[in-house]
Amino acid sequence: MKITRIPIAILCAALLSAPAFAQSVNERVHVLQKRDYSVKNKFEIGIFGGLTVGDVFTQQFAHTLTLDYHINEALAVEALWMSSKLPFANGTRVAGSGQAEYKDDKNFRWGETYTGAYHQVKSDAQLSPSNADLVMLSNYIGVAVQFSPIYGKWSLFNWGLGHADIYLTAGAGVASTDYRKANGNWVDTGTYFVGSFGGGFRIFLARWLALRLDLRDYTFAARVETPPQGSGGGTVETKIRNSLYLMFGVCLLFGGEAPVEIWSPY
Amino acid sequence: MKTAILSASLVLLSSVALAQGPAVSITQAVESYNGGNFQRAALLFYEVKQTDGNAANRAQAEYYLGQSLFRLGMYQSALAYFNAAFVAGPAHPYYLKGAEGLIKVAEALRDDTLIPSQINKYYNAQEFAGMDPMALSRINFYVGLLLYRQEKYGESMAFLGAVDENSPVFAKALFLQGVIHIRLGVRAAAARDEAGSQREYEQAIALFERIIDLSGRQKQKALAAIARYDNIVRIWQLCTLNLARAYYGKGDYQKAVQFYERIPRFSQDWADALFEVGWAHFMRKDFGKALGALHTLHSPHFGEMFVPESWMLKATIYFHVCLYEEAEENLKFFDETYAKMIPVLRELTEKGLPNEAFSSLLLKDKLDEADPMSRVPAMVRRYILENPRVENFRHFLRSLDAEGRAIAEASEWKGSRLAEELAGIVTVQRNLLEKTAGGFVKANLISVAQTIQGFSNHAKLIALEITPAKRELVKAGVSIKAEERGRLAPRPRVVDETYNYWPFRGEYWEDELGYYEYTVRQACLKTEK
Repeated sequence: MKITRIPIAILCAALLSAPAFAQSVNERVHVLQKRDYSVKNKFEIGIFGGLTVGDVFTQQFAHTLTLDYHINEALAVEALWMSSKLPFANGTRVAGSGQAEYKDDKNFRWGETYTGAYHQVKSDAQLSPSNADLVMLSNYIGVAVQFSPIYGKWSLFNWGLGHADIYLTAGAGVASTDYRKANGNWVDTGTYFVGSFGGGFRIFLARWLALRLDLRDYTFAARVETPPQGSGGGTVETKIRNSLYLMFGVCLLFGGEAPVEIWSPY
Repeated sequence: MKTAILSASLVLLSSVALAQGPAVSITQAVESYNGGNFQRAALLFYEVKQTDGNAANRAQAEYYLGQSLFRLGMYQSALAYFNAAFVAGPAHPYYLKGAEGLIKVAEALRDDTLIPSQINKYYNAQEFAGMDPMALSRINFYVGLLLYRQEKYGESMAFLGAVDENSPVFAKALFLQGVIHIRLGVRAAAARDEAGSQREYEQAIALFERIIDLSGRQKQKALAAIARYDNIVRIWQLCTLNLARAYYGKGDYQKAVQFYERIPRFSQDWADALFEVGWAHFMRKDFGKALGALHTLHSPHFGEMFVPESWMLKATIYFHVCLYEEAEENLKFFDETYAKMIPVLRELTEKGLPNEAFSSLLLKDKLDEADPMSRVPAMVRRYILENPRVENFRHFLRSLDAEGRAIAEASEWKGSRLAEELAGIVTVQRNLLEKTAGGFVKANLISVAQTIQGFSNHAKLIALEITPAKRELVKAGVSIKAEERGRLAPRPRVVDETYNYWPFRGEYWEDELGYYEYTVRQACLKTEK
């Protein structure tokens, strides 16, 4: 299925050639060709960079390393590690009870920020979002299954052809989570089971090289404990959080079926 | 090395020449030649040739005049003096050198007709035995090529078979022998000599395989072969195509298809391969693939290519699968596109135009409206221009024009008899070339008209067959309309998941060319064949 087409020039050519080709009702013309970018039995190593999108109060940057094995053209399994900060690097622990709190942690992160909405809530409404709403993934490790039933090609003004596949992915893993307090310290909110689902597309530049754009949602339970203050007891907030990551990656493909190339002296 | 030999041999000769006191001594000419001043050398050799009383000096000057001109890139002029040495016969001390010079000029001018013909005329096997084996191999190859063109296959094979294995033209000679075996196979088949035909095809196959074996079928060995043999890459591709043809001739259509499919897509021979594989599929009754191959051939990629037979094949396939309307449509297309060219071509070739009048089709990039060649249909013109010999003609013409300018601009020769004589040689040759090129065009136009006429007759036969076939349908009480007679065959099976299936809906995607396949309605009645 040619999913995307910008075939202006080709269409012109087709129209020009109309006298030579007029398909009758008694025949059908088909194209049966070896897939140019077969992924069957190939391994794919990818490195991604991106950021969270769609979160009301927070935004953070992350990178991901992936290793995929394509069982066939449509199905792949993937192991991935996504990170927003250096693992096991936490800065200086601040003394206190409850969940561990660290200062000078910022240097270990790829970048994070509160959104305009956060500041607006703080300044205009004199309110503070719930800490559970600020919890972010810091490191995620998991596996996923990728299903790519759609393989397409596109043409841009006849300059050349591109090939791509579109995939859906679902997986699970564990992630460490934390949130930033108003004073800049980070609170480790623990390690949780995380489910993920998403989709993306893979543009093949060569049989061994592809670009990927990946949109993936990570769902996890954010649990924030507030230690007892004064005479009041501590509180525990739990929320189901969704972090949606938009990632752009470069992938190397290797292994699999070698292209059938009969040795030719041409 | 040649110049060193020349110097040594001239030490004695020059003293004799000087003793006789010509206006210019051969020593002076030799000094200029050895010093790389070929203009001056040519002028001096010319003077010696004209004025020296010593016959040996004159003979030597004649040959080295040719050499000097050759070094100046004035091939046509050089040819005149090499030829003089050669036609003088073995009595001329530079007879064999003259023959070698002729071959060098033939290669420089890409002349595979006139010069080989001259060599063949004066070929002397006994004398040529003393020639450098590599030079002799080239001569044998060109003479073999000439005789092949004259359809003297036996004689041609004798010359081609004498080409040395170490010669750069060895692969070409083997290839030509293979092609001759194919021709002989066709000839034997036409004479209903089945065993003879098979034998010829098998010999052809063995020769083509042997040429491909020169590559060792490995990259490293192939690179060595590329360095060793002339034009071997092209020969390999032609071998693949001709292997397919030989297997087709043998009736092994499956193997023919395999070789046709090895011709790289978008390569020079792809169009031929597509058309011919269409026939191979047809012979295997794989009509869907035959139509698919023709679909690529008729795609915009090939533009309006001159392929009249492909429309005949298409009509024949439709007739075989009882799609009579489609067959008629293709015959109509053939009629409107090709048959209508016949009167124009006949008029041009039969109204007594001199050969020179046809040359503009080859030699000019733009044709004036007044030029009769402007009336040649564009498709036919392109077809003629695609002939590899056309580029040879054009190369020859460019070379002559450049030579004419170089002679006029040679400072040393201003006002000399040499310049006058060379200008005359070039002008005569240019006129002859125009005549030859014109003759080539005329012969092609006649051949094209005959080809179209032949297929036009074939088209009439198909049309005649369609009428009773339709009558049979009416008699059987079934509809003439194919869509009411049978079901469309299902789409082709996808071999495995590494293959893609795309439906074709009128858009030509470049990457899909060559991968089309038709399915047609099963419209034949059970009793129909």
